[in-house]
Amino acid sequence: MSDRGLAIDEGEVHGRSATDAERGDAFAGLADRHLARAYRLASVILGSEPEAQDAVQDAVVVAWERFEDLRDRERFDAWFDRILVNGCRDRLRRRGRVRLIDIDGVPERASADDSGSVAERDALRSALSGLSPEQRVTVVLRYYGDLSLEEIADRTGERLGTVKSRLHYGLDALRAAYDAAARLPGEASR
Amino acid sequence: MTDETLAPRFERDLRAMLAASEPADVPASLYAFVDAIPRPTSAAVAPRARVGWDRRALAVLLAAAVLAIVAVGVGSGIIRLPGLLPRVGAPTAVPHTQTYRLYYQVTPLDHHTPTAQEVDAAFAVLNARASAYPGSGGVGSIDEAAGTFSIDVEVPADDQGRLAEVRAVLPTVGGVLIGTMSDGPIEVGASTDGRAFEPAYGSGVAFTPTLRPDGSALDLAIEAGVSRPFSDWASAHSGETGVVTTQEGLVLALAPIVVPGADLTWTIPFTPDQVAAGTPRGLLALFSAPPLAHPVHEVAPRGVPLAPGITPEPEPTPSPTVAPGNALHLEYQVQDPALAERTLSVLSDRIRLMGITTFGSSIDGGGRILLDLSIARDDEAATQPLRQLLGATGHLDLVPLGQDPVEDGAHVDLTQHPALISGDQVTSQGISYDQTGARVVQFTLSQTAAATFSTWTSDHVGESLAVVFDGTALSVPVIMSPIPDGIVQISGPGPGGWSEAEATRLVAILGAGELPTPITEVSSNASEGTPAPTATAAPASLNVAGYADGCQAPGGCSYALDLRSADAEWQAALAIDAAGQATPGAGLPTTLDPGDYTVTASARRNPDALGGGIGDPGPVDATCTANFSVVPGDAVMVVSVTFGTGACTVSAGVPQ
Repeated sequence: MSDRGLAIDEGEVHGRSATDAERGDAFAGLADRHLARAYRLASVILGSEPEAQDAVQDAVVVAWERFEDLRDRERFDAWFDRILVNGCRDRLRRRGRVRLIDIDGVPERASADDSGSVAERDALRSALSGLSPEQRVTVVLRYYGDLSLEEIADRTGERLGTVKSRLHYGLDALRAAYDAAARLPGEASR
Repeated sequence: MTDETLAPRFERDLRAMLAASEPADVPASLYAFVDAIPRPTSAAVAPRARVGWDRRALAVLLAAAVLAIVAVGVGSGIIRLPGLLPRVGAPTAVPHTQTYRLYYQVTPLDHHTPTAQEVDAAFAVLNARASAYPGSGGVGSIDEAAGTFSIDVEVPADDQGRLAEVRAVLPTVGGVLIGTMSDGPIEVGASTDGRAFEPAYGSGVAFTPTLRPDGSALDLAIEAGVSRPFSDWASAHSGETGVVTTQEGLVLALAPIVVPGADLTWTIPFTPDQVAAGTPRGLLALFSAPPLAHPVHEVAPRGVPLAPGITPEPEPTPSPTVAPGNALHLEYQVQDPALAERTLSVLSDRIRLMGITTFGSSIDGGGRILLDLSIARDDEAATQPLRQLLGATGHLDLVPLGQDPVEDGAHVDLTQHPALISGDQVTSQGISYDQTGARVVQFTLSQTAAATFSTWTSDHVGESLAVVFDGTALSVPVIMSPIPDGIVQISGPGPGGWSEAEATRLVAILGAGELPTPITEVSSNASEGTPAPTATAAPASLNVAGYADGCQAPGGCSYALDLRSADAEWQAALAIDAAGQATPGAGLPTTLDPGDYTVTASARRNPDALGGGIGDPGPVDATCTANFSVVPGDAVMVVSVTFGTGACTVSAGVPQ
């Protein structure tokens, strides 16, 4: 993620602000700096930029409503991520979509490219959309967000064991799709 | 397995695929949205931002939209699928909705016990189907270990036919085939068995279904970039009739095949009869999720009404909104800081099981947990039960008592009465109703514990067994017959059973599990009549329950309890209705500080009973009192009022 690790000088916003204006400025400063990362994370989780924009806006609203109660503003990123991730997960749960199974057996493939991985990545992308919302969120936070398992547990509110389980089964499903794609004839050798 | 074992190529491609999904640019309107937050009157707010910010207006709009959708749906019947129940009548108005919780289990098959992944997947499918139903919400919970999960559905309160329809559609295997007939026309409702049906789709095609507001057609948006374009098939079969069937071959719908336009949409029209039969709704639900990979079946309790009263209007968001600065924050100190993270996880699960889906939390190095919750800190009716929920240890035991039962609410010394089974053997839990209609909390034991329980109950018929929660007997049933299935019900105080709030709280505690280490609430910004517990004093999580009986007047009786502390610093009222159910009045504290208390009960027969009761010549009014003490560690106070001949009696107290 391009914005991961962005240094934020939060010294001016530590502690409780005395006035609404100061509080508003503090929130806007923190949210602004976190916005691009949040939007990209939501886009990858949801697979939809318009929906990601809505999800980020919703998260901003919730965060502002509770900003007064965030005592440690150095934890703004993690705190905001948690709100965002929960919102994305809820959106995934409510999403209506069906993928039909290919009657003919072997699906057509996208044209092979030089990298030899396009087919596998297509399979991964398709398999990702078939994961449960919880598995999808966990996989994205781990391999896109580069978060540790403990950080994922913090963001999702799940127990560490649950995070490990979700990652395990999510990766199993992705690996199965990936391996199946790699075994198809006519593709670049692995 | 952990992610560290991933093959480098697989991990590389996975990261590359995810990175490729990243949008290149961030919309400028998002920044404008944030910039406008602290200054709501700013003119820089983008149109999308206005929708996001004006939450109150948005809520009204969403509520109106949902109600409109529900109104369209009512008056129609059911989709003609195998196993669906016939619809009874059609209401003419949709004033309110009712949410029901449906429980399902992934069906264990020979040589195969459902995995957690399969349970997750089944939940996702049914959740998506429920969410697709107009007017239904799909929020529920999963118990992977037990292979069970729940789905919440919201239906018009006066339309049981809709509930039956949803219950019939949700657990069907599902799966929709699209193809053509090569041996002549076929009708909706017929079977393709023995016919020349040529299924064609879909080869990685994703359809996003949209039901038109009038229900006259379902528009299927075909995802762009498919590997086998839908248009190829449509071109080859242009002018023919597309046939939509279930996996079992039942024809659900027919639609002319046309080459899709630039919008890549294929439309399935419905006849008025189909609309009246509810076909669009059912098809929308089935198109909204993939087929079930593993069969599921509904399990008891079946169709638990979550809110027996009326739900005036749907909420657009699951979490309540709280004015800035008025949110509740709680701070806890864990006894063993090394277990702080696990403790927070349990607390988080409890909060979610209470229906609060978004909240903030943090832990410091000293084992201090801070929770920020979207509950108004001055709403005592909401904050006090939540604080009780969070503060409870949550330890459950099933304790044999032989021929020496104790009263409900009594303290049970586990060193004297060893537990037969503990709460860590509970695999699922929920709210149910017993034969009398009283609300009970029901839980299921693991296979091992169920076997133990079955054997024990077979050998100890006629003996007492206490359901002990945090050292206090919640229920002390007598074993009447062997219990082979590991299902245990905890009855509540009074003839009506548990109140919904109490039952929900107990289920949340059972679902989230026991705290790994004791915690102490060290600070809270909640407004309350009693001071917040401090770190130096053990919290007195005294749960006030009450019930009444003995009223023989035809019109029933009403009771009022007045709780008053010895130092007269505060008092509060608790009403017990004619059915014996306690209904806390405004300001009733459900957490009491240690100290001495007096409870005064007044009993009055209802006005229409003034003609005389059955064998009850006594006065219509009676007053009686009882004293009790609260000491640290008390968990439950039971107030019992008995309206007898000529007087009432009241007993109140906590286990000693």
